[in-house]
Amino acid sequence: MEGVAVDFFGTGVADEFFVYALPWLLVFALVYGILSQLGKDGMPNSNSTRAVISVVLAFFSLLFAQPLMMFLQAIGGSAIVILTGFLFFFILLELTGTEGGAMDFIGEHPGKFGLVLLVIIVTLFIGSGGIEMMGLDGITPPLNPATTFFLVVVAVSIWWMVHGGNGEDNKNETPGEGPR
Amino acid sequence: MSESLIGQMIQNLEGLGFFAYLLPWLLTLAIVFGILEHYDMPESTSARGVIAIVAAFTVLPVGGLIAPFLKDMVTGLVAIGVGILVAVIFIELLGYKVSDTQNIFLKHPMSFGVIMIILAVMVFVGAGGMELIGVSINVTSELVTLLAFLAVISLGVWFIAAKEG
Repeated sequence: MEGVAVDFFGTGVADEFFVYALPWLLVFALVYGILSQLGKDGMPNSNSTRAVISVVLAFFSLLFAQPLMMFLQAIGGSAIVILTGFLFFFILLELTGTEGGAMDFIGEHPGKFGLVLLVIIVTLFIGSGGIEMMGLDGITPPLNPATTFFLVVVAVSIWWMVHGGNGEDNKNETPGEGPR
Repeated sequence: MSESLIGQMIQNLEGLGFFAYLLPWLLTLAIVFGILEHYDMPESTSARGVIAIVAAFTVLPVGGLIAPFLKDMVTGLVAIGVGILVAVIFIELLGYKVSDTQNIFLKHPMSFGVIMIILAVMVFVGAGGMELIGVSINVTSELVTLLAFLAVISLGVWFIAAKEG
């Protein structure tokens, strides 16, 4: 069995498989999955039509298969590293005997934990080249880092003033609802 | 494109117009036929087929323009799809739950819907969709930057007004 694996990875077949077959399959599965999920019986409701649309879009992935695989490798590798980091964090929580363990810790701080998770995911996406993949690589930051930092501090201050000033009164209100 | 066997094959297919003409033709046929079939309109299947074939042929002259746009759209779709998959893996593996019956996406459908619309618009603009429909927007121009900045400020003001209202 070992010989077969060495042959597979040594003859370049694996390169072709990883670079072309996997992105093709991924795009096919993603598009077919999304189309099947839409509406009651999928959109359009004919299975074969959905399959044809998926196959056509999957063929387009062959044109950018190499950058796509690089993106997948980058985001997959980074995700594993971060998940391992979380694992160590949980082990430390358990080791230090934090009451309720790791899952209770997340349950007690869902908002803060969600925010951290969001920041990590966005950073991971941008760091892996997601912005370039979306075709928005021509966008340059409109502001320099110092001005951006200044604006972030101003925004956080305003947010803190609005939320902190009202104390407990606003606790039960739903944020994000339009003015009435 | 690499010099591998499949890479060479893809180059040959590209040279033959497979990506520029055949795939957009097939895609248009599938979409038009699928939509007509979805709404059972017209009732005759052959009429649907003819309409779909005619629509597919009308795309052929602009196939060369549509193919790069489709390629970039698929790239953006895959990037976002993979990003969402990674997010879901993170959320599920870490056991982050809003409640026992709901997940975070069901709990905040409006917020995620708005985010999805923004992402879709970004992918569309990034893929050159605006140029394709005849509207030229330079995403790096100062006007677009200013509009984005104003949009963020408006969102902030709207959020504060909503909290105070």
